[in-house]
Amino acid sequence: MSQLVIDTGIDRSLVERLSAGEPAWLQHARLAALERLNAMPQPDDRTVGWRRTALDGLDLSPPMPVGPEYTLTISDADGKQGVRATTLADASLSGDGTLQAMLEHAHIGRSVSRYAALTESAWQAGIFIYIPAGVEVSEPISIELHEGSYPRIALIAGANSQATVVETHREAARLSSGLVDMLVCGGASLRYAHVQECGPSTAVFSHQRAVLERDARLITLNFGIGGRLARNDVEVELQGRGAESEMLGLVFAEGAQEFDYHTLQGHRSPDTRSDLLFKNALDDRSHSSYTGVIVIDRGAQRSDAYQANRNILLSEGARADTEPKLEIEADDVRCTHGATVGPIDEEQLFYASSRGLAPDDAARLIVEGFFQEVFEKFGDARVTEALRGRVSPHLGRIGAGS
Amino acid sequence: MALKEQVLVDQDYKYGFRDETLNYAFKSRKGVDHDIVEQISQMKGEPQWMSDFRHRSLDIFFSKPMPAWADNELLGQIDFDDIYYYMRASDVEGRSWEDVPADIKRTFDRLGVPQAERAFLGGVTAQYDSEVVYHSIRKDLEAKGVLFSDMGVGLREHEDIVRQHFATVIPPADNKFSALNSAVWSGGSFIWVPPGVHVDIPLQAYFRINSESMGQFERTLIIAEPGSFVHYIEGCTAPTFSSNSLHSAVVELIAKEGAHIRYTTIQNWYKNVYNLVTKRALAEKNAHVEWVDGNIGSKLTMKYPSVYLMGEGARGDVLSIAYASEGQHQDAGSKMVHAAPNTTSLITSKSVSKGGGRTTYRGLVKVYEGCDGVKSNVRCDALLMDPESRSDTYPTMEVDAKNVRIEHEATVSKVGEEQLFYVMSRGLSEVEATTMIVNGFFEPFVKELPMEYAVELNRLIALEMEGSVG
Repeated sequence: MSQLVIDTGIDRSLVERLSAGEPAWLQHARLAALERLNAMPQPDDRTVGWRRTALDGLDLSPPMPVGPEYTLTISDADGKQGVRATTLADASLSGDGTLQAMLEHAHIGRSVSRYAALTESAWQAGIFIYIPAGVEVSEPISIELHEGSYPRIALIAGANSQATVVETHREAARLSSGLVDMLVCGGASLRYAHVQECGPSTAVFSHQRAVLERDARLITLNFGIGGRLARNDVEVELQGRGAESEMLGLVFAEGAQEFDYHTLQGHRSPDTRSDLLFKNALDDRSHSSYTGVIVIDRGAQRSDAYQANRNILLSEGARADTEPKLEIEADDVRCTHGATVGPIDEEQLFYASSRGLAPDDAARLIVEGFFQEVFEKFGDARVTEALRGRVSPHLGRIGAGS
Repeated sequence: MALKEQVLVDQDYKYGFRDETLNYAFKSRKGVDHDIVEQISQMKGEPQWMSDFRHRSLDIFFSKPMPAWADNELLGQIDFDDIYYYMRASDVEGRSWEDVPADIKRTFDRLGVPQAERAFLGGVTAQYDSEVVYHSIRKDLEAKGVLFSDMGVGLREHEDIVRQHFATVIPPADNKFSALNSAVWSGGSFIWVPPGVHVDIPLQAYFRINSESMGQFERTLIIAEPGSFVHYIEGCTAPTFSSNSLHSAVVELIAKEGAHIRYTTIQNWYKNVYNLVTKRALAEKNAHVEWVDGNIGSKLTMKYPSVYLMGEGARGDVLSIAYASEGQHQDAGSKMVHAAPNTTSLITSKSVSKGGGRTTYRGLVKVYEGCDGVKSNVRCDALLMDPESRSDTYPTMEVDAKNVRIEHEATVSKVGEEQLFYVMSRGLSEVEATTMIVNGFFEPFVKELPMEYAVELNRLIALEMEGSVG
């Protein structure tokens, strides 16, 4: 058993304290996560999965847990329909086997992040959102995080339900490591947006894990404009036959911002479909690294998978790495991926200039157009109109340097 | 790490045969250590710097771990202590065809190199086990000042050129297998093309492994001086063995300003061979390097031909195909390193997996800061013939310059039902139709090959497709 761990400060006695009052299975899961955490060294530039993340000068040691402080909004009408939110700690006591199964097995993925294990061991309170079977949620459910080292959310969309959930991060402390587990039950349809507008010196980690049952549908959007370093791991497991996933990403990076996104499209059953579009526009000395994998298991016949990563470099100092991967073990599949890196298209720029636009305005419009496709694919204008407004002031500064 | 003895019974393998070659002039004991390396170096009467280089490389080999990212299940089966690292079938190098020992000639006859073709092929370096036993350079090549010999002869006769370029592209510490090759290399080709000289006929070498548990560690160095052109063809067919063989070559190409090198490989080792090869080219200003690379045979191939584009306007192309059937893993790909502005690269990779075979594309496109005007396009297509087979694609792009155009695309699919239906509606059987579609899939590669290779490759694919349907 682990002793006091100097470098993390997160040790067994702390985890046991955090876990006080929780059911035994949950405490066990926390301690198992701590074991995994202690088995993983602090990542450096040689660690698999971290090689391209610039870690220099950043203090990534785990802070002692604080928070979370958040604002959660569920409309009255939806509350009446039975949509409910509680702390995860309370929900765990309800004896709901679904939640237990979900939390106990969520980590069994391909994740190499020690921050997921960290959050799993050191989270406090947590948020649990439950959408009952058959309910169509009328207004987007909103969670705004203001503070918190290890925010953890669990989300269950009951069979044939429909909902949009927006999770906005505005933490400004040195480090925040969040974890979201989603279970999309048979026939349910969930839209989930992860909006990251953290402070300019924050290292922000987000781990998102979703399991889709039969004929379930999930659309995720990772919208990133904040933080000093943002590392997101988005894993979607298409467990049920006929499940469908759309994964979207949008990054606008400036200054010395560092974005490191990892994705998994896991086709575990036949007749599953996944689509992924991650778009990055990089200004100043910012850097983006994208690593994504499509896995099609043996027997997952008639899987249809697509993955695209598009990068626009807006400045001489900006850099982009991309590593889209395929691991295919079934033959009756259609699987395609593509990646591009380049500046704004000369022809588009010329066209816009010929219409009388100043070069900076032209660049702004072209980047807006570049992002438009992502917003449209999300398919909920109530969410994306607000996000367009959030990214727009940044686009006005293209090429200004910082 | 015990080596599993396996009995290879494969009636379909037309090209499988084994010649009785017991009169080895010299055969080292199994395994590798500093004594063996010293023996090899002394046998060859090498200069001290090469001997030192070998010993230094052996230490690197011992100290380096196996690559962690690779197919460790297959790699772990290699028993480095159960391999002969050096042997030579004949002490005397043949001056002309008549001087070549009869048993070796017989092997070449069975390889199917027709007399007429030999005349056409010009310079033939035929490697038998670890040493080149025969090579001839046509008079017009000599007249042009082209040097074409086996690497050992190159070292003896042109030590200054060799020493200046040897291991400058692939240092021993590059990876575990390049270190091993650097320690125990023997054979391979040495080519030097003077400035402005165009070598009109492809230079060829046949490589063979012909002794059980026999390792083969060729070392090839091709230097194309400014404005010159050379096309080198390397083709393999290997006899049947009852235990695994290790083949670990190092190939270094240097294309100086405005030079053009094309390097064609048809790899058809028998299915018990580990083919762990390091191939890399340097391309200076406006130079052009092409790797045309076909991988059909072997148990495990790990090969990622690379071009380091060091001078402005340099260009690198890789056109490769891979075919993996039962028990095979073709782990191939390419690296393009753009270290100068306005350099371009094009990678086209096509693979077919069948009968539980596995193909992997592993690639890197790297653009360094300040290298504006770089263009790179990577295209990978994979066909899966049945539900047991596997295909992986692991491309990586690292871009540190703004005004560049980097594109990657890959697809994985099976042979289309509509395609099959269309071809079969013209009266072909399913096997014939599938063969035709796979041949069509490989067409962009095949059409870059000299005629005799193209014909043989089409025949091989037809052979492989038998029994793939139904």
